[in-house]
Amino acid sequence: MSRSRKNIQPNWRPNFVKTSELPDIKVVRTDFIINFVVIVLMLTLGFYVLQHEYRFYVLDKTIAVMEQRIQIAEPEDTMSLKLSREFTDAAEHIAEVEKFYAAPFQVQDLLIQLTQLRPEQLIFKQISVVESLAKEEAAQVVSYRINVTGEVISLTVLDEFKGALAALDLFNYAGYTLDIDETLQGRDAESGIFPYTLQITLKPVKPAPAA
Amino acid sequence: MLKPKSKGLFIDFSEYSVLAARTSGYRLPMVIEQIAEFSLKADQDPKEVEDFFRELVNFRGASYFVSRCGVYPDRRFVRYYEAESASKVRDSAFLTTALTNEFKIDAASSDIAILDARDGADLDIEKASTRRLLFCGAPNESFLAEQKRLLGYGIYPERLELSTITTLGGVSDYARFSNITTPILCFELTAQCANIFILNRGQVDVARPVSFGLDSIYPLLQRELGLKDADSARKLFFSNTFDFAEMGPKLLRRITKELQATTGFYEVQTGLTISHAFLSVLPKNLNWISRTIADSLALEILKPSLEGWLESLRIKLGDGVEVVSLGARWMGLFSLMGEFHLREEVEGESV
Repeated sequence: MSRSRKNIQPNWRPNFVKTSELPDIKVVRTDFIINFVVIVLMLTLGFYVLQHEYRFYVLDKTIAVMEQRIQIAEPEDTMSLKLSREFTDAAEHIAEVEKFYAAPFQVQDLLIQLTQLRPEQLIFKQISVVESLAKEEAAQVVSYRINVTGEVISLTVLDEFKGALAALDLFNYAGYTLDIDETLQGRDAESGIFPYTLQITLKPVKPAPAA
Repeated sequence: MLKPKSKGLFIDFSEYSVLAARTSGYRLPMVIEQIAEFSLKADQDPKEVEDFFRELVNFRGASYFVSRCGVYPDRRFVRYYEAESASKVRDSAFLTTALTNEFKIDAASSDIAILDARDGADLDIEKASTRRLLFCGAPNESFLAEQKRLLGYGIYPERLELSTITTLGGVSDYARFSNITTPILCFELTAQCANIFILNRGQVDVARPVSFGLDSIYPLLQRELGLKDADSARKLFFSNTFDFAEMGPKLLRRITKELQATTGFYEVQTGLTISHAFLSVLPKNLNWISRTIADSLALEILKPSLEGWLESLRIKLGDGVEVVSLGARWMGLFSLMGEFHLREEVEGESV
């Protein structure tokens, strides 16, 4: 009848249960695992949400600062853009003027000299000057083509006029070669006049290859 | 989402009714969340009892609900024994002999607990310092039958207590709590037997069995009222339709005589006067028995103030739980919750 301390019952309340006759209701307890997993998931989710919220907060703050900076810099930026536009326009204008003055002849001089050279039996109907850019061995070169169309009474007069043109200082510009072609369109049977076209080409001389 | 804490279920299962309480758990401090009573019929359908439990607590899909139960098994016994000295008590052979010779109890075929009659403490034979003992228990098969019956209702008795001694412990603790210094007569009356106890200052001075119970009244009632048989008398007895106030003393004469003999002897022997009577387990419609016995013995019925006593045991009442109107028969149920040794320890520390 001796009892271990463990088996000693609370006062007035002895336990008479027959443990050996009780059904086995012990089950493998997995509830704590579920609870643990749920807690871990909730903590992870909470951390993730907090991290995102913090990032949003930081980004919002940065955006606000940047917007403020943009707002402050906007008038200055507008001024800079306006100045830049003015500079670009001025640069284009200067480039155009430079190009004009870089030509081997002046158009007004050309017209004056052509007019002075023109024989009486020859008339001009149209004079055009065409400036063209071409790429030659990675360098931009400018060529000039002057088209003179008109009518002439005799071919001799036209040949003389061509000779006078070839001798003109204006077309013998250093670094350029002169080429004059003529195109005749048959004599008019009634008037006996020859319509003609003279094509005067000034081309830059190709630089000699280095020895 | 987290699994809620398991509830506690305390059950006092008598032959008259099932008294049950759902609590916040089993550990003190605890809260009584709900109390319920199920009156048992003569031909009780077990399914109704199981449904009663399933309404009270959530089984969560399980076959059983772990509970703490108090029962009144057949041929149960609570016997008071005073040894010649504490040293004799330390001899287990002596105790076995005393059980057999004094009380005709076969230790081999019975489940027996030996308590210190002074405070109900489980006796550690090797270190026993008392010569006043209480033998309590019942035959093995009686406890087994009670256990099987509970399992049949889906109740898994984690603790299976003898309500007779547990209730006695409750009254003893209540006497200490209420500072009742005069002896109390405790009487447990069931169908086939009865038990008489006398408590003095929370200690058991007398524990005596009575070999007859309510069943002995029915033939008398049959004769008095000219009923056809004892079964009809039994039905009338419990029917709640007959006023026994006048006939009561006559019906209870035999029982009252037993009580008078015990109390008279005790009072002469000790010189003390018993002041209160406490009748446990009887159903509400037999309250007249308590009144009749108390009147016959000129005693005051002990009506425990349950709420204050429970609070002193660190047991609180939940919302809607009302105990003021509950009678002494609920003492057995609430005694299943009491950790009475804690009161002893607290008192011991203060001395």
